[in-house]
Amino acid sequence: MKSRWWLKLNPLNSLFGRIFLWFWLTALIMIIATGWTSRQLAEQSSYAPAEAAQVKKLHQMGAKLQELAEKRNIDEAGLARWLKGIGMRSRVGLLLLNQQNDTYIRGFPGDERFNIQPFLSLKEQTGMIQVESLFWQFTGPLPVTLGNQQYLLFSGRHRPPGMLGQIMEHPYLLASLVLGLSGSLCMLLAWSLIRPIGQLKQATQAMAAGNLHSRADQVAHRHDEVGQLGREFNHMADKLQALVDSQKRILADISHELRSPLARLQVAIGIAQQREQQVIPELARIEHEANRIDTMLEHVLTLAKLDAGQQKLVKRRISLDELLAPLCQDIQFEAKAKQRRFECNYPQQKILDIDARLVSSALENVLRNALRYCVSRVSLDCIQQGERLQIRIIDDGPGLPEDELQAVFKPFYRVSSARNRESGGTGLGLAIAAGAIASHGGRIWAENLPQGGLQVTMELDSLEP
Amino acid sequence: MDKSILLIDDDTELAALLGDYLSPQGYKLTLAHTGKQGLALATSGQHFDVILLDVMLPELDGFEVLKQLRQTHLTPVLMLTAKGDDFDRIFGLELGADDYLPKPFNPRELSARIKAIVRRMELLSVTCQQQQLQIDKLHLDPSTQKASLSGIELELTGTEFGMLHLLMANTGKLVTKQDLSEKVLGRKLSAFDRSIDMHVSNLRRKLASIADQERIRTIRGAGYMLVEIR
Repeated sequence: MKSRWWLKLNPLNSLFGRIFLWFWLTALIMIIATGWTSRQLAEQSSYAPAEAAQVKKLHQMGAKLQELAEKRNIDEAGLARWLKGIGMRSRVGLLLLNQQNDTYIRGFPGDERFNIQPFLSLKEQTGMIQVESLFWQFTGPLPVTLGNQQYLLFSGRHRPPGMLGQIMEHPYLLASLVLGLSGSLCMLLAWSLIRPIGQLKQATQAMAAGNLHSRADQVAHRHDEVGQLGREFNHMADKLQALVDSQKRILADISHELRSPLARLQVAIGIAQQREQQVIPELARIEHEANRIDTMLEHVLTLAKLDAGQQKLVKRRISLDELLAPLCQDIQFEAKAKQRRFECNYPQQKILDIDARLVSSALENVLRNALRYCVSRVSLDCIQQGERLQIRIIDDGPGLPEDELQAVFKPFYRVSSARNRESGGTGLGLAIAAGAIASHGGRIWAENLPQGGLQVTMELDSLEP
Repeated sequence: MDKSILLIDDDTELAALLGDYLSPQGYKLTLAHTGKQGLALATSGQHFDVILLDVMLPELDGFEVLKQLRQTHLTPVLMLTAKGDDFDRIFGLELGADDYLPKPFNPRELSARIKAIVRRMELLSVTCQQQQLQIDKLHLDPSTQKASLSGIELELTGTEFGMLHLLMANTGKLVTKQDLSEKVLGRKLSAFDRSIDMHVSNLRRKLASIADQERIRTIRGAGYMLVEIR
């Protein structure tokens, strides 16, 4: 999932991408337009009458240069050095324009692409004039002859562009800066808009996964429209939770209330059995069915407690042998009566920290189930998987359809192919087993074996050894 | 002679039915429908062989009745706990109940439990002729059903007395939980039945309140052993 983050940028199926790209595009167009306009402004130059002070300074510079040139023979590189030197000392920028070939020598730093155009048009100018643009202001021209060459001298101030200007001179740097800055800002904007939606999505997913306590609290405190949506979501979740809770409670309440009449019924059956001298076969059947209701009520109540997380775990350290030995004995007895084979293999020294009664009832339910559906044999074995112990119960019965492997752990679920009362049981055994294992932070699952039969695995934390 | 039973249960219909069921078996039932009424009857001086006590009672609940009763009386108590509520059961035994039965129950199971308790009490009185036991400072006299440590009398329920008796008669030897269950509670030990452990822990607490020495050792997964302290 993480490697595909760029899928988020696809504007066709991502709101994030759409917002981000649109804002970015708009921002880039604005930046380019502004940049272009300001550059246009910068390159325009204007002319004005020269100021006397500037003209005087120009003449001083010209005299100085000529003086120097007469003393020494110079080339162009030397001239550039001089210009720089004189300019630095007098705090002016100097520019020499070669009248013959339109080349120029300058004594100030910066700006590789200095625009000489406004100066060329001053070649025929006779009087002094001031020419200025956004970045510079020069006075000239003053004709000077330096080593057989005719030059026009200009003096003035050149304001080198600031850092921003310097960057603007490097197109790649400029482009990457503009792209990066505007891109990250737009990303931030799009993210701030999309983030609450993501949080809302998480809350919804958690709820769909069965966590009815899931709420979009991070979103709900916002004051905008998404915040309203978050509050509506929370409201809906409250209602839903209340509804589901009341449904669950009804089942538990009914079972609770049924206990008193059932207790009376059982005692009444006992009285009838006592009183009648000859045996009434129906009475035994009535008693049997009453006992069945009794078991079912117990299961429903246990399950309701496990579901509501009210079951108090009475954990203690117990060895695998202590847990399994009495259970295997019971099952062995039942298997013999049904003429099935039961094998039980486990390492005796393993120690578990569990509520032995709950886990034992879980194992018992699964074992009974296996015994009910097996053809000839059931086996129990244990393997250590890292820090967890897996108890596997395997039968050689018909197994389950693949799509029912998970559903069998739901209350009152009966596998379609075996939907007959003959199999007995309350339909709650596996649900209770799953609840009991889950309350210990363990896992339970069923799988069909390739050689036929069903394997139910229970995974629990084990303490060494 | 009829055994007298006090039934404290707010379900009047069930109480009446139980009266009908138990009377042919030789039990005389006295009914109480509130905790207060039941407690008054139980402490009135009238003799009861067994008290059947429902946990869910209006006003004074079953636990409270048991707690107050145990301050003065050691009459055997069979708690009727709510089915599917393991906590009730353990709590009841902690407070000094002799046994428990989750409700609803099969009435045959109830009469079996009552019979076991009554038989145990009879057995204890039959052992009147049995010799007194003395293990270091621990003294037990079956004829008066009294036990004392360092001359201070121990307030034991019938079940606790039975357990101590069995442990003392086998001092230095392992007494399995199966033995304790069958000989004292009068029923087979079922898987993960913690009632034996609860009774032993009550017994330990009462012994420790007089002299804090580990007299009853736990043999993990097997049972208990009483050791002599020199």
